[in-house]
Amino acid sequence: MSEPTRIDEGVPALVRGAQTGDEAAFERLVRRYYDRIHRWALARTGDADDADDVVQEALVRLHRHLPGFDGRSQFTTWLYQVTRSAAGDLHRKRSRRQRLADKAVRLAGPVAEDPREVETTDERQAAGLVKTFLQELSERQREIFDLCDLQGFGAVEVSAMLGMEPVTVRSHLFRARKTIRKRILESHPQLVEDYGH
Amino acid sequence: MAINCDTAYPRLLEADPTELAGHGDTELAVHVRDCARCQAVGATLLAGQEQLATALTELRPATDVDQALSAMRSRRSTPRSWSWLGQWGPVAAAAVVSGIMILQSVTGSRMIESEIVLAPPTIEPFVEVSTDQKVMVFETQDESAKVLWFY
Repeated sequence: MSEPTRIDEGVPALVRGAQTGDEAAFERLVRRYYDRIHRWALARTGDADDADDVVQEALVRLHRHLPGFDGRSQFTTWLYQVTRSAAGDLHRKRSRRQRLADKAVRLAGPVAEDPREVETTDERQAAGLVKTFLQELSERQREIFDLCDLQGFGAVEVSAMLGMEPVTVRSHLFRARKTIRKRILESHPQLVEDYGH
Repeated sequence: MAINCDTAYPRLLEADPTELAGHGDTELAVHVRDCARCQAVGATLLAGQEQLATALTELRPATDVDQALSAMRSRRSTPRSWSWLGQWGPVAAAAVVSGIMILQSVTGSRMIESEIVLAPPTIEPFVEVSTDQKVMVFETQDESAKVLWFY
């Protein structure tokens, strides 16, 4: 699990520089957050291609709106909202349902027919988990589970990022955990066979 | 009160990662510390989530950060189609109106009138009444209509 606080060190100075038109500071800021923006976009959209487009749009918006960032919230929280807004607009523009259907067809295809693509058990399990994450969780469950359990943000911070009540965040988180964890345990039937459920 | 494995199992599916690891004082965390089977399930779930986190991290963006920055700069410098309308639209509209006014002053209003449909002028009702006749005027809901009663 990554540590969300470490990436924020030294960010206020970069933000201030970028706000005053220092292109080098802006570029360093982007480099620092680029992977994270992509991860957020992926969790939000559930589609790698869409995520790339969202990242691009988010960077444009970051540049455009950064001078208006007043520092009242954490930069990470604000940046997440910028990314989320970019993802929301893209979502409205596209027939996402169609894209996901296409993706599902590709993923459902026989992966290991090509001998060069034979996967280990771990790889197969990881691929299955990613597929569950992208396709079986709702958009909201996906982003909350990713932020809380995979990226290590606290529930209160996630509530602020998403503008949701903490109780709602936890409700989505529990449902997401249940789906993912059942999927994890499917690969270990011997562990759960004696439970009385 | 201690919980048993059957009670613990559904909770393991929703618990915070710290509880899965047996940290803390919750019923579940205490049980996980004391029960080898639930401890194994907790460890497996944590490992699975770690595996997912790693796999997602490996899903890199298709474009690297330099390409993305470059694309962003080119998007910033290329005006969107129709964005000129917002910037120059009012100026263009003002130019058209000015042009019409200049044309009107040069050629007279006849040409313009033939091309521009003017709203019909308001016609005031004209009623002649002899001095020995009384008239009562009734307003109607339609402001353009009045009822005149000659008596």
